Amino acid sequence: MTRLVLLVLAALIAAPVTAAAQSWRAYSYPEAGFGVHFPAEPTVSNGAYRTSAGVSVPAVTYAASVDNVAYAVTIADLSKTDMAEEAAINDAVKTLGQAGKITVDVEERVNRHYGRQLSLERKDGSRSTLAVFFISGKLYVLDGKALPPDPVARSNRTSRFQQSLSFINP
Amino acid sequence: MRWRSPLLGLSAAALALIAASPGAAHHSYSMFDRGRTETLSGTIKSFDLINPHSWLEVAVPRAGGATEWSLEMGGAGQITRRGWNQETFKPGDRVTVTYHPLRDGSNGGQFVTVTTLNGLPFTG
Repeated sequence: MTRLVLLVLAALIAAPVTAAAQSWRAYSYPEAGFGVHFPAEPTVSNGAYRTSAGVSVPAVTYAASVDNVAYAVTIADLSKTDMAEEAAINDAVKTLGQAGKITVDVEERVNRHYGRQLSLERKDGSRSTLAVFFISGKLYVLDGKALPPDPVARSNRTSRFQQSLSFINP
Repeated sequence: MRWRSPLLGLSAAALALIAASPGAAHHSYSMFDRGRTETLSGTIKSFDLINPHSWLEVAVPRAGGATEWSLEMGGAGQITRRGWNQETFKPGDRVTVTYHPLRDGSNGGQFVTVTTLNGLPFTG
């Protein structure tokens, strides 16, 4: 019994180390139309996405957090709004920009879809590498956020997350 | 330390290879400043031969420790067609890498060439 308790305690102590040391893996979500690499097993949660005009729509977030870096892809269902591709992307960029200073904002193609990729230095000292796309009524917002202190030291990971995004059945 | 010039002459047997052609790319590389090429030297942390892009992870020495750099390469098929495999690089291998830097100054870039400093891990 004592040995069992010790084994459980050892496993609990080792768990965070194991999670931090996990390597990158490709995750594919055909039902959501995208794939991306995470450095740890992501969780999936339902929530809401709010446009800059205050309209709330259903959203699903795929997220993981490792070693002071938060990785998330949020898919907001804008199909029941009148927002078209350009307006939806511009609105998302506007909302993101309110969190800090956008230092890079470029048009990017992923598979055959065009969107934007951004870098954001947040007011709270964190640093995000972002991608914003709009496909078939769905807004895709990828956010790799390195938390302070020294978020630049982990900027390689947020960039890798951003660059791994792909769209399925494009 | 981030070296902006190659370590010329450190190894007469140094080998440089190019494996980052953007042909048939899954994305358009807009985040990379492809008008600039920079150089760094360090040791391999990992070499991930995966799709849509393979990654070379390099630990670059700096005061008080090391920084991690991630260099984006071609897809696994593109890399293996050049004769590389998962064993081409091993953790601890010393390398000098040239790359197109990320526009936001992040520790990464689009891989251009690699020069090994501790021998010839492969031929070609």
